[in-house]
Amino acid sequence: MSISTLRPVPRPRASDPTRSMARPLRAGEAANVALVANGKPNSMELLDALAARLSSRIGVREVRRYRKPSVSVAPTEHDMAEIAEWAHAVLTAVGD
Amino acid sequence: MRDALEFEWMGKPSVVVVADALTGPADAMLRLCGVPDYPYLVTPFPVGNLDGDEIDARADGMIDDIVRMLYERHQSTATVDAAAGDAQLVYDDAFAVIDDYTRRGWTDGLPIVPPTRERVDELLRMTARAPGDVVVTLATRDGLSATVEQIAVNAAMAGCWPEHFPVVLATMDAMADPRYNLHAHTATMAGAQQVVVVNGPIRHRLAMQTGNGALGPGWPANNAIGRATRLVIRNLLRSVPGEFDRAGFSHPGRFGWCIAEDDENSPWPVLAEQGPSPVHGDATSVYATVWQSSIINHVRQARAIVDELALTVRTACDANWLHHDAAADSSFYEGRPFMFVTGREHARVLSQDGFAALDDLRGALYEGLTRPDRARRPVAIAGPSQIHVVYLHATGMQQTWFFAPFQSHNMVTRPI
Repeated sequence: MSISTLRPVPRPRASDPTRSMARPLRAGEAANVALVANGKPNSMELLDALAARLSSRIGVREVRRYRKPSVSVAPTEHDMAEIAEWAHAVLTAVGD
Repeated sequence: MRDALEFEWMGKPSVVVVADALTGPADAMLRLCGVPDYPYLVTPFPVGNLDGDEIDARADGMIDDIVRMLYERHQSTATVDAAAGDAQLVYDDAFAVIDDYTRRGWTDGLPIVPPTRERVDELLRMTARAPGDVVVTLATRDGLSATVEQIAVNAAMAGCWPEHFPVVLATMDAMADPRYNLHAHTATMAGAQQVVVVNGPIRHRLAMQTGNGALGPGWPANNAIGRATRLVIRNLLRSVPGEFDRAGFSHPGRFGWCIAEDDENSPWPVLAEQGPSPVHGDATSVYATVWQSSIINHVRQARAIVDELALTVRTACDANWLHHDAAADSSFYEGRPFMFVTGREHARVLSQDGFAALDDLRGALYEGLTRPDRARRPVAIAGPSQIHVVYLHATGMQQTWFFAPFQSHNMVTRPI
């Protein structure tokens, strides 16, 4: 006699058509760059080093630094809103 | 990784830097979000111990790629077959079920009870909640969730009897609380263990072990409830190696760890009543631990036990990143719990020799963990009320265990 069982794992989900990747920066466009550190040791130090180099390579108008409340949680709503309003590009680190 | 995708969806081109030790969870997140080929930068682990020159060298090595990634649009070519996977599977017999579930990675490596429709329905009859109700949602895993029925499937597999299921369900409710931060400690290299502590009369109805041997095998309710929570975390929330689980050593406590306190014999308030929002009666509390220390001594003075506990815990915390210099900078710091499990002999000495009140014991331990000491840095604990004590009626050995907390979590208690 056969036995029928239920799947213990989620079914694959369809892609969300409302999600799309951002358009890239345009050449010559001066960008506001947000640095988002997740709070791991040296995460902001690494982002600062990258931002310093980025400024010499592309047109960076302003850099702002954000630190998440803790690792593995989202940035604060305030920071997300400010980044949405202000930033043209984001660097995040570090998955460590 | 998740943050970078959120920024992309907001219209902000983003670049994320990931340590090479964590590319597995990063790739799992990308697959989950439907963009498995989203590019990111990889740097050798660890980053946290680099000096300034070494950080500069890492930055020099990455900057060309960052510039390129900011100026190139990412186009995902991946597609997801949403119809893949039948809801029901058919086998010749129970052995075939066990073999196939194991082969698919749907078990913890031990045999499971086949989750038939009939068995799962028996568990579902123990709750008034609808099978489709969502119990857990992890926003940080793109909304990955677990419904009542999905949890029942995994509880059946774990060997739960129907009467165990309300405890499993309440435990998953507690784990869903953002303060518990389930995503973090089921994806950490520390291999955290999710510990469940049950209080209230339900312990007797389920014949849960609260005395000798209570932390180990052989107790159907304790073991099945603990295992059920881990199978949910594994199967539904995808904390499996190669996806979100990135434990270094891992731990046998991750087969499942459910403790039933001996409420009646404890000299102090039970665990569910120790937090800022006490729950009376049947309750489940969830805690996340990364290692344990044992303190065994035969002294008969309470003060000596407290001193030994403080010395042991402080030394271990100093060596394991739980000292104040390393672990006080977190939004979870104020509520970070420190749990001790003590047996009859230590509890008797403590309660009869000056520490009949839990707050007095907490105060003395806190003082020992944080007072100035040249050799050991203060423990990263916010205050005495963060100390919790669970009593087991374990006799003979004069023993207390300290369950070191996963740094970024708070304990959560829910009624059953």
